[in-house]
Amino acid sequence: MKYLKAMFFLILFLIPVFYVCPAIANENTQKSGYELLSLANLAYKKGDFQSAKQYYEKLIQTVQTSGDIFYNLGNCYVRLNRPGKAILNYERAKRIMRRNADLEFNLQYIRDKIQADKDIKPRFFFFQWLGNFTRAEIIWSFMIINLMFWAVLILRLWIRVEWSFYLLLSLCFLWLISGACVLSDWYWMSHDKRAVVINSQTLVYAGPSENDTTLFSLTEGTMVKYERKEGGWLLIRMNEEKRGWARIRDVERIVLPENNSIAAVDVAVKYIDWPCL
Amino acid sequence: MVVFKKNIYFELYMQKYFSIVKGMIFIVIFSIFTTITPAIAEISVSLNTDRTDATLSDTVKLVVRVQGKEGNPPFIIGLDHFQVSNGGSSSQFEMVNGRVSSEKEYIFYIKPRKKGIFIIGPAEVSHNNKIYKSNTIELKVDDTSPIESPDRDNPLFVTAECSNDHGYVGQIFLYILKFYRLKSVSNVSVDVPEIDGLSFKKLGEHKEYISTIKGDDYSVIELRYALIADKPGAYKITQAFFRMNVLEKQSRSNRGGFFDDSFFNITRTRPLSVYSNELDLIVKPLPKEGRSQDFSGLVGRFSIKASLAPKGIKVGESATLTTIISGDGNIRLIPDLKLQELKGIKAYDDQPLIDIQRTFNGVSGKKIMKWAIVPQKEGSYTIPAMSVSYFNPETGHYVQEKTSPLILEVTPGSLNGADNGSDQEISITTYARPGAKVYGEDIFSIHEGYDVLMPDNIDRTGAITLYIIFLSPAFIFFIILGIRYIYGKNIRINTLTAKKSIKVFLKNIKSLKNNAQTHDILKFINIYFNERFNLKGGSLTVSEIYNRLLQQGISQEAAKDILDIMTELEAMVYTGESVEVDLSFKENLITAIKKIDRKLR
Repeated sequence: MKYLKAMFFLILFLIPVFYVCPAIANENTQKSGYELLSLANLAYKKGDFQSAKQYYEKLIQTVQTSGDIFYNLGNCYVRLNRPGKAILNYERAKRIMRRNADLEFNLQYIRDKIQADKDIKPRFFFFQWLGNFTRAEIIWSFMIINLMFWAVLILRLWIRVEWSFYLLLSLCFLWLISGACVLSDWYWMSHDKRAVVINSQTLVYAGPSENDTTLFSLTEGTMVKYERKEGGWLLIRMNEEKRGWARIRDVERIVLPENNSIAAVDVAVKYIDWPCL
Repeated sequence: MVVFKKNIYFELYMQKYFSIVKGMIFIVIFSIFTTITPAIAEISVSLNTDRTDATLSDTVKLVVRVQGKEGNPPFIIGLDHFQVSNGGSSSQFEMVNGRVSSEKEYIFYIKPRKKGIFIIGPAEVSHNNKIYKSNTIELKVDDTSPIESPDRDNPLFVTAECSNDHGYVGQIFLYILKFYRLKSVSNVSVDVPEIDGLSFKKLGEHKEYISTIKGDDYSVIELRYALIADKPGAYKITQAFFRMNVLEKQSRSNRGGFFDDSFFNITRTRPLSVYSNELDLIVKPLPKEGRSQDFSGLVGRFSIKASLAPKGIKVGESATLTTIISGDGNIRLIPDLKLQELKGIKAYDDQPLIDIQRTFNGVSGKKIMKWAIVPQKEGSYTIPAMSVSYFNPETGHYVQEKTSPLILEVTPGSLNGADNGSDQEISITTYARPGAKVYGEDIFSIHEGYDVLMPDNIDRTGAITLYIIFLSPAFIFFIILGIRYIYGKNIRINTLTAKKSIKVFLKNIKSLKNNAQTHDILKFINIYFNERFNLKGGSLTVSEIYNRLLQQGISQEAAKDILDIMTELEAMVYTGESVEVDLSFKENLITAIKKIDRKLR
């Protein structure tokens, strides 16, 4: 009984630590985020797309990322006639907002404009189907099935009737499927090797040096698959035949780097002169 | 904690509240009834039969459907030559989306007394001194009895008939299969013959009715097929097979008595195939004499109609010429008619529409062709007649059906140049297709509002919360499992000890020598009861043991035996009367303990 009491008070103490403190921190971050967002939206409305782009990039750097910010950033790049960067940011937004009609339209629009392919090669149908659901939907579905599965398992400790067995069997099957969906989604999100060519007429070489033979060139907005990095060079693959080394500045991965530093250097330089920040 | 005190104002408020609710319920019920009443005011009567041709031995099902308010039972005109029996009635009342419909069906079975073509109906229903009438139905009655079949006298047989035994290429014959049965069958399937040059197409759904043959009422399943010959020749239409499972009842006993009842009979199924009679069909080629150049292979009976709407227009407007060819026969071969070129008129043809209907009585249909007629200037225009040629198999001659020429009057338009007499091109009014008119293309605008800063739902929840939600059900399960295991273990140990106690007691008693000491026996008895009742230590008194045994449901007699034995033993021990126990006492003790133990299990 003593231990139970101790545990109870410990939990009571931990709740604020886990929830209230991060919430306060998050609130402060968001406060500055709202200011930045207002500035970005205002700049976009005025037609100052360059400033709007920089504000959105700052937002992504400082505040927790959301699909809408990537979408807005993509719009800025469309206006600035940078289709590669636009596609890159739309694809980043699509990883979070998976069924957004505006995003689908804009992405298709810019692809049609530059006549770019949709994807390197179509994914396995299961992953394509899974791509229609947001991460939240997949995880919450799994959580509900998990809860039901254990509830029925507990129920069966007392009620061992036939229907409960078949219910448990069905839930077990659903548990495995939904669990597999969660794992697949996590794997796809963390091992997404797609990258976008962000500069026009990007040259691809046979080795990680300009002295190597030039194999082919890629137009801006082309989707490629990243294989490995060596110095300032990336080994990329467009298809089975087209494979080679491109400069790191010409190709950008869709998955954001660990430190969330989207064009970090570029943004930092621009921020020095901003009086509002 | 909030405490609600009983207060007079609160009660008054509740009373007022309930009176408002009551009023609202009354208004709702009243409005439902006021809306229902006009909805069911109209009465409509319809008359249907399950077939339009029958033989003298057939029974036809006649259904009178009365929708709306319930009136008097229907009176049907035209049943003088029929034997009529009542098949009952059924009512239906339903309310869907506030719309109420009431329907009553009266079923009659009619059996013709003589052959001929009869008009049945109308059925008349009177309500509030007003008579409502139904449609009429034409019923053709033949005196033909089922074709003789090898299995004619069997309780199951099939007949095949053809509407004609000779005809022409392209003509549609009716191939009729009738399956007569007196027994119950299930899983009935039909194999129609497959003959090179002949094609069968099922017409409508099958029909079921009763036919009386030699005093027996057969249930009949009738199927009809459209039979078309592609090439001339003498065809033998081989047998059609009906495959089924026949349900046969087998009585349990032949001796009669209580179980000699259909309720106790066993039904067994037996697979069976029943085949029809064969038929001969002679198909002749279409004659060459009288065949016009526009003949497209159309065989049957057809008619052509043409109409022009409107008949008078202004210059710049258009009129629609519609031509419909309809009839019975091979509809698909109706040709696409061409409109002759007319001076001063531009014609634009529409995609022809073809409508084929396969009913139980044959194949019929129509082809609709339309032209937009646009006159170039005012005046009177004659749209020439159009024609279609077909072969009539009943007369054996070609027929050419023609439409009448149509006149189109064109008056000067308000905006045309009729006054200056110029021959300028008339503009045709065209309507834009439904859909969007594109003015420009652009991306969708940015997403504004502060919710765009909200991270993904899952990111907001946080990993720790997710882990807690994910692991807590499993954690609870294992805690419950652990508790159950610990308690279960104690229970199991106690049960095992209690069960083993008799073995220990017997072993101890047997280990005693003949001159066993009374205090040893008393000790063993105490050990036995301690283990049996799962007691941790100490010993029970004789009266305590007696009471416990009674509590455990042991009979008073058996408990008394133990009480007596133990009292005797205690007396021996504590009085020093005797310290040794004889063999018979031991045996009595063992028997009594065994008896008790058996009941305690």
